[in-house]
Amino acid sequence: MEDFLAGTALLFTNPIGIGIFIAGLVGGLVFGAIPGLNALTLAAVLLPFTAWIPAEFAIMLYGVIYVSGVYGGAITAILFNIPGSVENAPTAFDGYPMTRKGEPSKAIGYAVTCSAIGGTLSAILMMIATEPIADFAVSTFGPIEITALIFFGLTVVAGVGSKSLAKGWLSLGLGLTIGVVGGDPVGATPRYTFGTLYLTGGIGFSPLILGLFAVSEVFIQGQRLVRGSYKAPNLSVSYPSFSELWAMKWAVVRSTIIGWFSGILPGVGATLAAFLSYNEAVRWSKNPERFGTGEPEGVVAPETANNAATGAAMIPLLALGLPGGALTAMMIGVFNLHDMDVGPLIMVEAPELVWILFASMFWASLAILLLGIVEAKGIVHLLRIPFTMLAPGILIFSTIGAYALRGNIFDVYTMFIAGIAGYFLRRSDYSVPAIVMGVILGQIGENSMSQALTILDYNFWGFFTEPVSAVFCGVGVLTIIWGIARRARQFFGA
Amino acid sequence: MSDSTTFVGGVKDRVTWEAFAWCVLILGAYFLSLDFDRPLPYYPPGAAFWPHIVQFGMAISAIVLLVSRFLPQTALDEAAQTPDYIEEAPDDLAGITWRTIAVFLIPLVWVYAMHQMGFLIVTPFFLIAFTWLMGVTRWRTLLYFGIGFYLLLLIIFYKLIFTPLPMGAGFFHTINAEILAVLQ
Repeated sequence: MEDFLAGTALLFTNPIGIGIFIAGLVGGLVFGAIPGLNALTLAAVLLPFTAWIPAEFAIMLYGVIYVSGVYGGAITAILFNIPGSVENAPTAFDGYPMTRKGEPSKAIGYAVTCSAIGGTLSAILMMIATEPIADFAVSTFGPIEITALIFFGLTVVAGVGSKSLAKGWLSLGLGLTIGVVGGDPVGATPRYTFGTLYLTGGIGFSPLILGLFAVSEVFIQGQRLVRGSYKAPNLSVSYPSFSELWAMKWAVVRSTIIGWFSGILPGVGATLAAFLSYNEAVRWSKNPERFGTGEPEGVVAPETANNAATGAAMIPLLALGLPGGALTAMMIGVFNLHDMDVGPLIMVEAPELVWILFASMFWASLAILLLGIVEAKGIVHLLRIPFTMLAPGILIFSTIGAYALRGNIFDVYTMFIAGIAGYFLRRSDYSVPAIVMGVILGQIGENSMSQALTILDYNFWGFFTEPVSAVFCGVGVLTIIWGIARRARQFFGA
Repeated sequence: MSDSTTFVGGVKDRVTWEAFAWCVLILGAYFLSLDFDRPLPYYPPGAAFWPHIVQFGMAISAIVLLVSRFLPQTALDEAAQTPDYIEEAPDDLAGITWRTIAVFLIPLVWVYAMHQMGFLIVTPFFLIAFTWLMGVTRWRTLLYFGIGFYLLLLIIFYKLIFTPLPMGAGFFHTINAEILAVLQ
């Protein structure tokens, strides 16, 4: 506690520290909310400049950007079906339908409250349990367990967003196939690249998401407009009540735990945390069929988890020197710029630096709650702009987002192709969430599966002999059987 | 909501066509995967192992989809409904007009023109054209909105955060570079 107070004092007694804290908070929120220009872009731009500011403030800046950037991307996901960052994609699954139902404020209210709770709990856990949890997680979860976890996740994903089980699985398969394009994770052998350089690196995930969500939405609403059947969503600015938030308590606890453990695992981070948490929300819900149609728990779960992952990601970084993702890898760069190495000795050699980071992430999470409450009632008025004018704006911002990330015009073509495909797939009740989750989980899954199979000497039964892996595989198989049995009951009325 | 059966004759027909399309996609992906279906030095299953697992799963799903064609019509109708929040999605292709096609076409033309002529030159025309297509017909509104929004984009992406955007090719690249020099 003393260390935390000392870190807080160091942060808020220095005008430079306060200025950097606020700049990081606002910068992360703004960049997180602009599609394609996520907090990572801001962090990359700022990296060289951190050499000129004190080490403790430089590392604090990155902690704050990380926290606020993850939340910022939820706003556009909810209001316009444009996820600001990849980890906000599952937020759009139910956040945008809530907007269509006239509840954008409520969706943002859930997102901001749960982001703040997830981030704050994560920061507290980070402060009290960095070393033991890092040891446990890193020693227990290897490629075998991660593969089993992904398999389990995939079995749940297939049931999301489509009323037909076969269409859910086909959507997932399409996503997995898209994820295969590019070099394979072992030998970088080109797959489905048709000899083009563009496809060698795989299909860009941001253009794909922007196309499937934002562009297809403009096409759907645009078609309605020209046919005269467009209905503007009714706007309410009601914040979720305490009882509504309280009803989400188990979802918050579950998502915090999922986010926390996902954040700890190197290379997994906030994106998988959000997707897995959404899956679990569906699996535990009494009304799984409501997901994808504006279920508040579908907003609560990913937003809690992706923010919970931010604090947890600091644990392997600080305790073991292992970055969990791109932004934490940049934080290693910040340490190096100041002639420091991260690892177990950092807590002994530079405790003030570690504690100012912990304190700043804790206060940034709380600041998001205050900013977000104001934002929830104000920003929804953007929806009062007629869709006739919003539509070209959404297309332009999405195009800029798709292009700016890699400076490649083919990313824009990819986005529009995904948009047209998304339009027809959505019309035919295929699941866009399952496609997106197939891409992201498939890429992580294939990578860990190839490592796991090497460890297991290419024996698939090995997944059932390792205890943690066996549990995930077993529950995954049961999920498939349960899904088939449920649909069979629907068809045959048994 | 219009009856979804109007798409290609009926839900059963539509399901058949969809299953057929999936089979073509799966077979196509399988045959293309033969190009890289060989053991790797450190990974004997090879680069095609994972795609083949996916294709196997998809093939089973496509067969299940096809089999569902023979299930009772009422159950199939229920399962084929679009999600609730897009229930008003335009299903009926019989009502196609040049405007419904233009909703897809104008953005594609814009992207191609942007590739050739640069973002700065073609975007104002796209803004005005697409807004007009969406139903804003007053020229003054179109002009004010088009210019205002374009200026906003210039300020945000060229003055504040210096985002690199397509510059076009050849002669247009030079013009875009000149405009950019003036702006910055």
